[in-house]
This record gives sequence, C-alpha cells and structure tokens, in this order.
Amino acid sequence: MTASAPRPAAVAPQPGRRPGAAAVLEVAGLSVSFEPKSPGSEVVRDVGFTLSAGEVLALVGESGSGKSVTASAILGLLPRPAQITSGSIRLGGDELTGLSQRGLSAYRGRRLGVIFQNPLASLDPSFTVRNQLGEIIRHHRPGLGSGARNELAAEWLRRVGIGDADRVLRAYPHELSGGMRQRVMIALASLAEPAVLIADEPTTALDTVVQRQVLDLLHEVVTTRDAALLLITHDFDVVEHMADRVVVLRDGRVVEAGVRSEVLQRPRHPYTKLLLSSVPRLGAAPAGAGRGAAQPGADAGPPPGTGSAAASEGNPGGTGSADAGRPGRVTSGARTPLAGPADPADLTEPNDPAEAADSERGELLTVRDLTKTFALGGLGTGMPRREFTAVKDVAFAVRPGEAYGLIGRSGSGKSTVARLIGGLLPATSGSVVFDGHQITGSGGAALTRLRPRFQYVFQDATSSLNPRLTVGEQILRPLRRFGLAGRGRAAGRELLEEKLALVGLPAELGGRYPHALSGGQRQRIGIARALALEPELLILDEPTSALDVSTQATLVELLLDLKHRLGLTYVFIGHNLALVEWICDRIGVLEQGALVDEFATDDLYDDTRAEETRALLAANLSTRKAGTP
Amino acid sequence: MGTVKRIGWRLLLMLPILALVSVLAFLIGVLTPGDPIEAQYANRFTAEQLDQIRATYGLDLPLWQQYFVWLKNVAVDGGGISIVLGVPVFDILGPNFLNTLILTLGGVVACVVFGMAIGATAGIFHRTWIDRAVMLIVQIGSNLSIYWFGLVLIIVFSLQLQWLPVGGMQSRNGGGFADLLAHLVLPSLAAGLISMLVLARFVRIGIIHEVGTEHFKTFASQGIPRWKLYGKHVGRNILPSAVNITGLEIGTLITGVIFVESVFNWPGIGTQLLNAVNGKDYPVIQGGILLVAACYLVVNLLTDITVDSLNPRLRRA
Repeated sequence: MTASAPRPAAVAPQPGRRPGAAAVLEVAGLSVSFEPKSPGSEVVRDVGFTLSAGEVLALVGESGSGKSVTASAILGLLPRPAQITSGSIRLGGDELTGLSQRGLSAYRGRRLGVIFQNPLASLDPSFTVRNQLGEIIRHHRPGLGSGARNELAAEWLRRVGIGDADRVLRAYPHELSGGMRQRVMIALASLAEPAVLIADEPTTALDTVVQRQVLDLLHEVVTTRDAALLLITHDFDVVEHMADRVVVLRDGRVVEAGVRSEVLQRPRHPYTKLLLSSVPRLGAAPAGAGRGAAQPGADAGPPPGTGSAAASEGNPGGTGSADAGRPGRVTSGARTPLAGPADPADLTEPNDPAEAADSERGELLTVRDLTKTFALGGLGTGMPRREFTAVKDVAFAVRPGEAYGLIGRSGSGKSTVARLIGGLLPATSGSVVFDGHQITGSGGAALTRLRPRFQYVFQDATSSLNPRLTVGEQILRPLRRFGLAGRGRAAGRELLEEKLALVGLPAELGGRYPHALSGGQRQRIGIARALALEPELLILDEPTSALDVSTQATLVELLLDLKHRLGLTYVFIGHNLALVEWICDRIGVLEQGALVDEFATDDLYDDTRAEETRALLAANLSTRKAGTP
Repeated sequence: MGTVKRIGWRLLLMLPILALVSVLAFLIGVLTPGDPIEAQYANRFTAEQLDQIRATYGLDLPLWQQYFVWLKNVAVDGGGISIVLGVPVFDILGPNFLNTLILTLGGVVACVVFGMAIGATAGIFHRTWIDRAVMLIVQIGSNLSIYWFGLVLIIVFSLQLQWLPVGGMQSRNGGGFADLLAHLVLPSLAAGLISMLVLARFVRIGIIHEVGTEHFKTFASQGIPRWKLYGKHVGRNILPSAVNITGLEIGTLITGVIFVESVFNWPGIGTQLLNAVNGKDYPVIQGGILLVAACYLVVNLLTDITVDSLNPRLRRA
C-alpha cells in the first residue's frame, strides 16, 4: 500500500506531496500506441506521476496531447486497436497493466471511479436514475435489499446537493439539466467509495455558472473522504481552482510537473508559458492582445480604440511563437502584426456614405422587440400544442465598427438571437434592421441582395464545412454565387490566395479537404468564407468554443486584427465572460430569452450590473484573480 | 392518458391513408392493360353480348362510379364477384389469406431470431475475424434470390438430409401443429432471408454504436460484467430501432412470401393473385392489394406504438 516500492524515475521530483500520505495511484513509464507493432507510433510516451490520498492532480494538455488516452489506459478502457506498450500502473500497490477485463473488474468502481466529459451522454437514456444507481449499488453491494438500495441512492443524491432526491430518482436523464446529470454522475462514480476518482473534463460541456458548482462539489466529495482525484482538463482556470499538483502533457510526453503555484506562477517550460499566456482572464486580456480597453474613464462609445494598448503588456512575439511552437502549418509571416498603430479614423469610415445616411442614428444593426417562439406538439403528434418562447422582446443596436457581445448561460437564447439576426430563422415578431433594410420578413431576392453584407461564422467549424468539397472551393462558392469570382481559373486562384492570406493561411491549404486541417485552421477557413464577400457585419456564434486555449488565443487575435484592418462590425456570441470582455466593446446579457443587462465593457464591474451579470461574473473561476498580474 | 390519445390520433390518421390506398388499389386493377371480359368470353359471344356482360359487372360506368361500386362491394358484398371464378372475392382470398399470414409470421420469427443473432455476433466481435466472416456471409446472402435460396433449402434439407418436407402446408394424411411447424421451417427461412440480413446489419451497427457511447463506458468503468452490459444497456437501447426495422421489413417480407409460396407450393394468396393477374381478374387483384396494404398499415401502426412506448421521452409527455 505504501509508496516504498522502487519506482522508475520517470518524472522530475514531486514536490508538494503531503508528508505521510500514501500514494494510491502510481503511473510510471506509461506508453500507449494505436499501432502497437510499429515503434515510434506512441501517442502517450513514458508518462509518469503519482497521486496521493486527499490530493487533486491535474493532467493538463491540449487536444491530442494524450491526456484522455492516459486516463483510458488507467481504466483499462482503451479503444480496440490501442494498447499499452510499456510502463506500469499501480493502484494501491497492485499492478493493473496486463490484467484481463475480468481482472480489472475487481478494481473498477470500488477502487477506481470515473466521471466522463459529457454529462448529457454518460447516463443511459433508457433507464431512470433509480434504475442506474440501483444497478451500481447491486453490483458493489449485492446483499442489499431494494429498499436499502433506494435509501442509499437517495442519500448519495442528497450528498451531491440534489434536494429533491425522490423526484430525481424517478426521472429519466433527459428530464434533468446538464448540471444535474453531472451531479448524478458524480454520485454514481462515488457510490462505491473508490480511493481514486478520475474526472475527464468534467465541466467542459457545462456553462460557467454550473461549472463552478460542479467543481466545488467534486472537490468536496473527494476531500471529505480523503480520496484522490485525477482531473483531466485543458482549462487552466479549472486547474487553478482545484488542483494541488499539475502535470502538463504535450504530444504524449510530460513537459512539466509540479505543485500548482509553482507551475502556474513560475512555469519553466515554454509550452506551459504559452498555454498560460493564452488563457483569457477577466480584467486582463492575454498578453499581446486586447481590444484596447482598460483606459479608466475613457468614453466607451464608438469608435473603440483598437489595439492601442496592446503592445504595452506582455511579449510582442507571443503571437508568433504561438504558431511557430505548434506543428501546424500556419505561417506567422502572412499575418499583419497585431499591435499596429491604431488610427481611429480608419475605423469609422462608412463604406457607402449614401447608405449610411439611410441607417438610423448611425446604427448598422437595429434589433427591436425581437421575439421567437417555437411550437411543440400540435396536430398529428398526439400531444397538445405548446409554445416555447426562446427569445422575448430583445432590443439592442450595434454601431459601425463596434464589437457587440451577447452572453448568457446555455439555453438563454443567445444562439437563437444570432440566427434571427443572420436571417437564418424567421422571427415571430419584432424587427431586425440592417443599415436601413429590414431583414425580418423580407425574403427571397431582397434578403439575397443583403446577404453579402452580413455573414455568419458558426460554432462548430467541422460541421459547418462540407466534408466533400475542398476548402478553397467552399470559399469561392459564395463569390461565384454573386458573380464576383472573376473569369477563369487563374482569377479564382488569385482571389482564393488573397482570402486565405487574410486569415493567415498559406495558399496551398485551399486544395485540401476539411478533414486534413486542424480545428483552428478549419475555423480560419470558416472566417475566410464569411469574409469572402467583404461583409460589413460578422455574426460570430461562439467561434472558439471548440478550440484549445492557445488556438483560441491566436484566433481571437486574428479576429481583432481583421476588425481593425477591415473596419468590421462584430456581433459576438459567447458564454465565457473573460473572452467576451477581451473582444467586445459593449455587452448584452441574456437570461431566459430576455435582455436583462447592457453596458459598455469597461462598466462590467460596476455595482449597478444586473443580478444575472453578477452571477456570471461570480461564476467565472478566474474572477478572484482579476486585477492581479 | 397521453398514450391513448396518441394511438387514437394514429388510428384517425389511418383513415385518409386507407382511402388513398383504396384509390390506388382500384386504379392498379382497372388500369392494367387488357380487358377481362374479352379475355374470358371473346371467342364465345358477340360484341353486343360482351357489352351486356360488361354492364352486369358495372364495367360500362364512368371510372369514379365504378370506384364507389367497388367500395360498396368491399364493405358489404365480399369484395365483389370474381370475373373468372364467379364467386365473391373474399371467399377466394379469405382462407388462403390466413395461410399467407401464417407464413409471414414464420418469416418474421426467422427474421427476428436469426437477424438478432447474426447481428449480435458480428457486433459483439467487432474488429475480429468473427465479425469479418459473418459480414462476408451476410454480404453474399443479401445478393441471393429467394427462388434460388428456396430451392437450395429444399435440395439440402428435404431431398438430401430428408429432415423436412419438400413443400405444401400439411402432410397428405393431415397432422397436427407439429406437422404444420415442420412444413413452415424452410419457407419461413426463405421468406425471411433478406429481411433478417437487413436487420442483422442494423443490430450490428447499433451494438457498435452503443459500445462506443459514454454511458456504456460509465457502466463498464464500474466493473459491471460485459454480458450484463450487452443484455441490459446495449439491448435496451437498440431495441427501438430493431423494432422499427422489423416493422418496415414486414412489408418487404410480404412481397417475398408471395414468391416463396410458389416455390414451396404453399396454399396462400400469392398463387391466387398470380392467377388473377394472368386472367385480368380486376376484383381479385384489387381485393388482394387492399388486403395486403391494410395488413401493412396495421403492422406500421403496431410498430409505431411499440417504438413510442419504448421511448421514455414520449412515454411521459
């Protein structure tokens, strides 16, 4: 049980181990490969760490770093072709590698529990919570009668902060919210009181308010039982909130390990530094970027000063190294330096004076009393017709050159608003006026004429690109549609090159299919496609939410840079307050379909903010650190 | 309460569908080329007499009137009188129709039992040689013709091994339920062949999908034994789509049954319908189509109700 057994020294010294605490999980020299027969193909190489009782260890890395594969290897749940090629995994002194599935069963649940990433998918949709918890209890404690099983399940639900345990027990997973489901999942994984709990990105799919509650709960569940938690995450806010020690993974290798304060405040490895500098923080935009806020007392009205303060903080080379440090093919040379001298005059020039005069009070986009209801049930479904109001009487205006942020929890209606503005959904009532032209209600030719002037960038870059067309073709299609692609192949190629250069991609990428690009590159293609028609307004629906922090940082910098260079206007939808603060000049807060607060970004911390805004602010994990360097 | 209402709606919706089907059945019968009266009587009667015969069958009326006459016949008069045989249509189709239903049921059982078994074997052993071997057989089987497969079954199991009867529905000296079952085995296999392979593919894909889900991993990570995971979580989650596919496949199966009947000499409506088509016997063709279509609708309704009742999202709406 004790850690006295000789252990291959795979990692640097492990400071911060609580003296006297026994190592409950020891991973040493672990390598995993999807092609076990070909050497050098490992996706996890020589990874090692130990985890003691009562400790929280964060395994941090970007997608593809091997952190989830490491977790699967510990659980013995590697997908079929993947195998552990070397190394050892010791749980309380027992070697787990080489055990059969049957052999591993003895450890699962009882000594090793796991919480998966997606609470919406980790419970079986066909059975009630009672049934699923009951199954786990029956498995681990076969002696209990059904009454005692129910009692125990209800007790655990109460322990994870579910007040009406009886209702939840009778519910099917779809009848519970994401946060509730994750609580049930934590109860399920903790039922057998395992010594080690593995949580694989437990809050990535949850909005910030719920995220914080779930993390706090997880911490409590682990520490009160003196269990150990292996937390897999890409989010440094989560790390800072939860972890005692941190292991940073990159390309399957450990690049840095140590106690939290050491790693976060004095990172030794450049990769860790890069990751840390990419995290958007409330009240402090990441190094080398920013919309140029933070001038106390400055009038926040349009036009915003963009990028003027950017060069003052951090390393100017940070953006370049972000790309150079990655194996991707993004050439930093193609990009205009971010922190160029700001010339506010550039930003306001109206694209067409005559039209600008048309538009009301200098507003590019005016939204009035916008309402959208969806009908559920009705004729032929056998269910009574019900109406669900997703957006209710929302009104705001966006001025040219401005970045307007819409923020809210999941289900607050922010994406619906974006689609209504983009003319992708018909509004139930109210109006959206773009530069003097009605978008709502106008269809067909009128809307088609307007379309090139406002474009949309979707949340999921992968599914918004057609997998069967080259990305170059996808950028050129809208141009052809409006007869702007020029004549002949050469003209098209030249145009494409120009559009790709705009988003910092080399021309060769135009011939590739989406699957041959990285997530960040795909989203750049999405932006290039939206920009191809030279629009004035971009509607950005959480364009970075599927990306790693460092990719997110470079993409946000690109967006800020494009806005500055092309004089674009943004409507930016987000759920991460720090990110919205980073990009936007003004912010609107949505709660249950209604706009409950609206303010200039600099006034975010005012006492007069609406309750929902303060709730979002309080839930942000990095709030406590706001203002500190 | 909600369920009862939903089923009520489905039943109500069946009425317009049934009306449409009856129009189609009627038109298919009437618009097939050839004239039954001429085919039947041309060499025996004069043109005037033929017109008279047409009038007695109501064939001189405008098409829409003929349709309503036919509807009335279906409702109260046993489906009208067969032009060739001179007896009410349902008297001809009725008893045979029961035989067809028995064979269809046999086909469904074969489809479900073997389809599930084949699909489960391939799905559970996904990415091993077992999966590849099973899928190769499925691939080949899907391309067989029912006629040929039926004949092979007869040659192997009836003529060579002599385990099962060659054809027909009952032995000559009669026999009980066991005798009927023995006669039922081979035609059921032949009738269910294509459907069972379609079902097998869906079951296999369903299992592969379910094993990859997070909730499967949740329970696997708690040490629940594999067989329990397959039996409970995988089984329950692929059940709705398996029921759905089976329901859809019954339509295909009925079509197949009509051919299988002629291979195995099964006394069903297939033979009757083939004769009717040859003799341009409208009323029999129309009645047969309507009967089969009605069956199909009922099966669809039952499938929908079953699938709905399996979906917890609808159960408590």
